[in-house]
Amino acid sequence: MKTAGIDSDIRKVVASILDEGKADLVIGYAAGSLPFRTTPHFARTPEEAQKLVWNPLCENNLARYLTKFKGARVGIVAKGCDVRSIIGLLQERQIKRDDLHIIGVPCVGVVDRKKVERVVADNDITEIEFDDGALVVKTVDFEKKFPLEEVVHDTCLECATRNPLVYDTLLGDKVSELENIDEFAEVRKFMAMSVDERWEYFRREMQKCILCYACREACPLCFCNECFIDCTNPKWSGKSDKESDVQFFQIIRMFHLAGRCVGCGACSRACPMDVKLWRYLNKSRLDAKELFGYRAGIDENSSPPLTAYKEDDPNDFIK
Amino acid sequence: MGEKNPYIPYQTRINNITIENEARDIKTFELVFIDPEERKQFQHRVGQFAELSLAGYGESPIGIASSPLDEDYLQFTIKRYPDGVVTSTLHNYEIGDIVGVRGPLGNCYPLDLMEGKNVVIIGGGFAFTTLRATIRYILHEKNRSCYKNITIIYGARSPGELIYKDELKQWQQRSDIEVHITVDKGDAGWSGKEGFVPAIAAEVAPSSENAIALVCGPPIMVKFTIPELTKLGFAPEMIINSLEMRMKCGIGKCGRCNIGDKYVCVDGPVFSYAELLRMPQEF
Amino acid sequence: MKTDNRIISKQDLNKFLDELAADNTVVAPVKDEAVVTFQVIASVEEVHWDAVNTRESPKKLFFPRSEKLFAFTKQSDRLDVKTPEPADRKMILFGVRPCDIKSFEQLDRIFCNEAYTDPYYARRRENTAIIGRGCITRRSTCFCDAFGIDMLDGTGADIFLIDLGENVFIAQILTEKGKALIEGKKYFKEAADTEIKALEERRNKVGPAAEFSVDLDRIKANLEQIFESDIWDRIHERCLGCGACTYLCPTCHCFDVDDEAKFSRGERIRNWDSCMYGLFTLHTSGHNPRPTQKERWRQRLMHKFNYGPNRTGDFLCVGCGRCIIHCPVNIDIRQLLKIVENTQLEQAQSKT
Repeated sequence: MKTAGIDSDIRKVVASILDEGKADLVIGYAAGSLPFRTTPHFARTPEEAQKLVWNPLCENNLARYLTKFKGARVGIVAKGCDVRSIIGLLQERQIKRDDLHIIGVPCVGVVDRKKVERVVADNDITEIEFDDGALVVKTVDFEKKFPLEEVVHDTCLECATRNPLVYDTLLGDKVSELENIDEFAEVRKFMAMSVDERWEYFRREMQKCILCYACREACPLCFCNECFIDCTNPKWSGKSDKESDVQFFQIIRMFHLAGRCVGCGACSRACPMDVKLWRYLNKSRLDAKELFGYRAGIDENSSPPLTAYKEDDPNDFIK
Repeated sequence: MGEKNPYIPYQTRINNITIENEARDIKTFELVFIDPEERKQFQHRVGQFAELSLAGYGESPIGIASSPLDEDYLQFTIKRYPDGVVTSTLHNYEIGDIVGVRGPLGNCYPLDLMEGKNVVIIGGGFAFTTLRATIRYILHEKNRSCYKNITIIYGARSPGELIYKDELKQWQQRSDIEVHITVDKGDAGWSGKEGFVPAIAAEVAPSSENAIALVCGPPIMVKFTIPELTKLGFAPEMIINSLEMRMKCGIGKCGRCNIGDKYVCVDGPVFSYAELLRMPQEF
Repeated sequence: MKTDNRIISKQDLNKFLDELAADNTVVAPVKDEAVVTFQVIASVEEVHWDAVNTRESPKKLFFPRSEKLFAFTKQSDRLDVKTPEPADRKMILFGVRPCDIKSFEQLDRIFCNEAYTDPYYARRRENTAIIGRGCITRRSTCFCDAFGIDMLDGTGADIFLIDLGENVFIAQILTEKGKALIEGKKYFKEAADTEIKALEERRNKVGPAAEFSVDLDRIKANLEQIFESDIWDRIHERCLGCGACTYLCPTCHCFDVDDEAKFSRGERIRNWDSCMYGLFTLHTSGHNPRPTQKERWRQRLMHKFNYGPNRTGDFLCVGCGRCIIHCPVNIDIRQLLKIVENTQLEQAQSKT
């Protein structure tokens, strides 16, 4: 797979970070077992660093692993959205800045496999190429070229921090930030529907959910030792396939993320049933902005609105 | 779905509750079947367990503490865990309340192997329950002659934490068994042995000749008792353990309680030490 | 029963399915946006014919995501217990691939054995006829042949369809149940010699053999020896512990039992559960025999490729590839099997 050639840079940088003892472990991406995938890679030696890659298939938010390595000095290859998650973890004191070596990578978007699969269907993808702002997908029978904007994840189309806000090392040149984007265009469209229409849409979407918890496990900010859904004493909810059980989990998870969700989309990408989770989370991000003037994952020194009390908290919306 | 549905419990009523220990968190529940015919169907063997079923709360796998020859009732001795929904709820139940019993489940102590042998029974804490069922059974006049010398070594943290206190006294007064009771730490009124169970086992030093040992207790007690038995010459096949594991279905379907390729609920909970050595050390 | 080869046109097959749907509950692959899953259909129009396989496995027809074991009402002198009524219609499961058909046999040996029969599973199985469909193409993630599964072998189905092309299917009637299903349906004609020959040619033309092959016996034997080895230390690191693989897998069967009640009424329900979850083996005392993802991943592989075969003779994997495609972090079980297969036992053991 041809990429921008950043792979060798990343391997050199990580090898020297490990060599110089700046980190005990660097979390990055390696080529996946399928042409269309990458996979998280844990490099502990310069030799292991030689497997690292960076390209628009690097869809996982690796910040999710940081809370597993508390106390160790960890390097992490982080896109703009991943760094927003890291800022969230720093705000909530789940990790220490001094323990981290952030290798920031400017990013113009990660490919949404599901968008490509809609076109390619069951035809096996045999090769991927990145050709000057386009994704070339080859199968046995045909080749198709997609402009990157057509196949990147929806969150990437509205990304506010394509360049990581915080980093120790920056790899590659900075990219231009998106201008004049309304992060919440889709949400506003949704809000224009009637309550009944919105409920029906939500209900049908959640019927796809099988309560596998991939969304929770992929999310860097779902780090609770015991998730509310697993608590038996008191038992907050059942875990069956009843609509109410599924909706309860999803709604409460979203509320627990309200004001904290950075909009990285990792949950949606992890979901095996293609539930459009991040659209609802995006609504909570809109609320955080409009009600509290707050955007998650931007300023390490601020706090999510629902976790901190301020005398001058806006409250005109409380009727 | 007829009577063969293994997920439906029998229904029993609490007939008696005995508080077994000073901390008041271990209780013995005496259960009487609402339908006496069903009691006849429930023919258990010593070492087996049942899932105690509290409708609306869940189930908990508990060793059967009564002997099969205690025909009118079943007894279960249960410790209350603050985090355990079922055990906590059950401890709030009163005489007359309904408890479901699903079973008997699991395998049993190897009575046929024990026949004609000296039987050494070593228990600790509140894991003594199925051993107590076994003792009651083999001491019964119908059965006593099948076994040679019976030696019991039982210990608890403190005198107040010993369970089945009345029965222990009765056994101590019998001439056809040897009973050694110990506590980790005695109190003002305690005149018996003091010391951890493994140390007392070494002190009592039951002969391994033509003998079989049943061991059940907290993991740390078992871990240190087995080497003492090995030193005394007990072969791994002659050291019998009973394990516990988180369970749900109790019938080998839900996949939760396995150690290696054995399900503790159907292939156990009784395993010889020889079998344990062949299993992955994941319990 | 000797294979009874019939021939049927696509048009008549559609008619057959519609006729079945009138009196039976027919479940078939249905496409909703990009996702194909088994759903109840009212008409053949809803059937999606083109997917290599469905997103989720069809195990949910016999072992549903949630199953009510019984409802209860607390009376003063007893507990009234009521088990669910049987389905009022027979079920026809249409479009099942050979890998999933094989998984049913494996689940049969788990849910129904000499020790105990699970009546819920058994009743659903008994009530269902299976119309399978041979595979004429495969994805790179399919590795069913590693388990001796033949893309055009319908053993385990009641009727097995093989696409001959040009809107003609061979329909193999494999069981008495299958025979009863086509009773009086004149459009299932006896296959002529030319058509049997076409079947043989189709057999020769199926998609390329999977590149993946593995010595299963060697893997089972190696797993026996490497329980304590440090190869497990790295294998699990990427795993999120999310459960997607186990839920999509045709042979994963672990479940949880949960009571739901309000005042004096309630239900006991069984729900899918996963050995990948941290709480799966947690004791109430706080002790957990599998405290990290390392022990849990080891359990997954050991169960499928060592404990499972020890208990029922089945390697609990049919090579459907769903876990490979949908794992959020691209953990590929084939790679792990290769690691196990190639482990040098002396090295592995010296590290214990």
